[in-house]
Amino acid sequence: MINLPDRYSTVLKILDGGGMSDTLLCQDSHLDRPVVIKRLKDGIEKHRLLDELAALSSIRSKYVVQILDVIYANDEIVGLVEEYIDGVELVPLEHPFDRIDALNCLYPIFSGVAEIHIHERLHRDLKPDNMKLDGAGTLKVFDFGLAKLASNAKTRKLYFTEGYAAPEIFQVDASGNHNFTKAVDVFAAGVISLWMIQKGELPNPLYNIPPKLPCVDFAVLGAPLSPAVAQILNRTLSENPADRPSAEEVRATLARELLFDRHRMLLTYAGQAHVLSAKKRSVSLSSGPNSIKMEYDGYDFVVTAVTGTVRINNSMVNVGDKLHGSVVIVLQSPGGYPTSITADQSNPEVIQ
Amino acid sequence: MNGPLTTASPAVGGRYKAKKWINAGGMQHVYLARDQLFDRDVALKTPKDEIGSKRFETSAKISAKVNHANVAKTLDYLVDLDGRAFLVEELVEGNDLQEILDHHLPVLPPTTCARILHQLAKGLSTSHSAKVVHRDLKPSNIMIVGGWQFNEVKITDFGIAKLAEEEIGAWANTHGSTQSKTVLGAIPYMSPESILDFKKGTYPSDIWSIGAIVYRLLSGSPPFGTGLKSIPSIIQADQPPVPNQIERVQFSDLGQDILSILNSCMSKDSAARPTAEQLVTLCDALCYSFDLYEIGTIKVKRRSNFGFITADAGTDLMYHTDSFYGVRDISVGQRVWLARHPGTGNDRAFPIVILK
Repeated sequence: MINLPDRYSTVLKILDGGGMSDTLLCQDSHLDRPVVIKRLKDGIEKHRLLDELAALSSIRSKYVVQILDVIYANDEIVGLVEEYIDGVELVPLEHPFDRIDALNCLYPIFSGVAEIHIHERLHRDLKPDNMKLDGAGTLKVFDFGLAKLASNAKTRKLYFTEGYAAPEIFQVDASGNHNFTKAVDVFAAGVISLWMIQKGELPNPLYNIPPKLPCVDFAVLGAPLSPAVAQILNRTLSENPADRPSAEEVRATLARELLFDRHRMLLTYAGQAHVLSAKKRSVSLSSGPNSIKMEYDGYDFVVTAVTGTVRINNSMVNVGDKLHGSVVIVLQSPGGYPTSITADQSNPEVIQ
Repeated sequence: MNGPLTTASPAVGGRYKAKKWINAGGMQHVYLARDQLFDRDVALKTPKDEIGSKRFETSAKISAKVNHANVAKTLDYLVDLDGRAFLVEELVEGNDLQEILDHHLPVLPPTTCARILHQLAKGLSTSHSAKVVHRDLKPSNIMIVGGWQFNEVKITDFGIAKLAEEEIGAWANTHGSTQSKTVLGAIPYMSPESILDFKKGTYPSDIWSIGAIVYRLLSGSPPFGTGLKSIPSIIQADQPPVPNQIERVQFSDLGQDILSILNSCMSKDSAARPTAEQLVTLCDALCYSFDLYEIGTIKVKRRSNFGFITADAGTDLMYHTDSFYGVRDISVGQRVWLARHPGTGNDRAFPIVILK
């Protein structure tokens, strides 16, 4: 036990700190707000606290809790002060749910992991207990007591959470170390996805040490997941870490699905505007013998028919071409006068 | 006791070492400081002489209640041995919106306005649900990560109204003439009810201010003009004119959608304005691209309607005159801000704004 500095000395609540630390909710008298104070449990190595400190102070992300201060005793760091997230525990999706519900709950999980990985850190102990949703619904990842630099993540003494641990961490290299990569976090995020979809239950083979894989097919769970989403989630639980996608790849796949039918393309032709979207999926534009037909399939704007001479941004167009961003379409017979159509696409981002 | 901090000053609280004076808002000095404990840069704010530290403390505590990605995070508050108070805030690497308007971009196309409006609504929604009203929203209190790249919006100075209350409040009671930068900067974005009684400002007043700010971005001018002469029009609160920039077909679709949201924000009847949460929902329905912006120079004009731009970084781009938002009196050598879209031969620039 350590003494709390005056500033944080009002203890509001004792929280469950997980394995490594005692966790207290204290009032910061300077700013009149609650903060979380983590202190090492007796018998736990001090580097756990320092690993968490290093990770939290280097990651700047809305998905990761903010570290605010440290507590010293005899010139040694003995505690961390972190922002308190006033929110709710992560809970499994209530059944029945639709594809948007599923995407909205999976998207922040992989976004959070992707951001941790952008900072070249590994969390190493991702599980629902280490995640929370704040008042605005933003996912927050905490408990970085096992976090490591992605470039040098090995340990002799293995801590893991059953069910969420990737198979390769149980192997030991020639020097007796267990090695971790980003793929370990991706595996855990895949298990969390399964937990979210399956009412908080995980299949038994995942609890095996090491887990027996493959043990699940997201496509046959009866959940409203598109084939692309089910496929990439399956890959997160690959036995071979090299077969797993990056967190960013999963995030991008989920984003594409979340934006299904939400794009718009504005075509301007002779001062007239034509909008192509889920409300109006196709348009044909012509000038003399030259014409182009375009269709919106929910993901892309695709050229479905062409007659005569049509160029997009100076290249000849073929059926099946997809339009990206802002382009100029030119209909022009050889030697004839060009008719230009500008096409500007709005590709919304997922804003969460 | 309130002398300027210099790099020779000892670290505040043994931790925050001033590196650079950034600016003085109306109420406080802002420094770029190094948090030596976590090895990261932060914004260090300290009140100017005339502000009581009690007020500053109250303001800090108000801002500390709000925690959202679109609000600059309050990290620490401390008082040094001389009794001088310091607020430590997340450092936003970029510019405030007023600086961008004054020095870079006179106007912003609908896609950028939608992005800013959406994020302002999100930040405000969280602060309103924490029961915190800003009351002094204006472009100088809105920080833009990445400056003209518009990576992210962060509202700052929640609680500043507590500090500004005396200055603006005193003025609001008399509506006399004023030289106060704080007052003059705030007026164009103040709601009718705040103009009548500054201390009365509440949630819908913030919504009005956001509407007025984004209208300023979309049209190039505040909805009711600037300075004291705008006051009667604000109180009258007639719907502001449709910005002529969005009458052009390339920009009218999204531009009109945004304008109708802004008009609802600037309803004279505060009860008719959307709540911040409703504003988020309205913005969720907008379709806008998350473009990456860059800067270039007009290289050559071809025929009457197109030409090429040399990018400061990257390959040349083609432009079409229809892609310019706002003034399109194009001449070679002009500096422009634009978003790049892939093309064959040349990438295409859209939208384009001529830089100041």
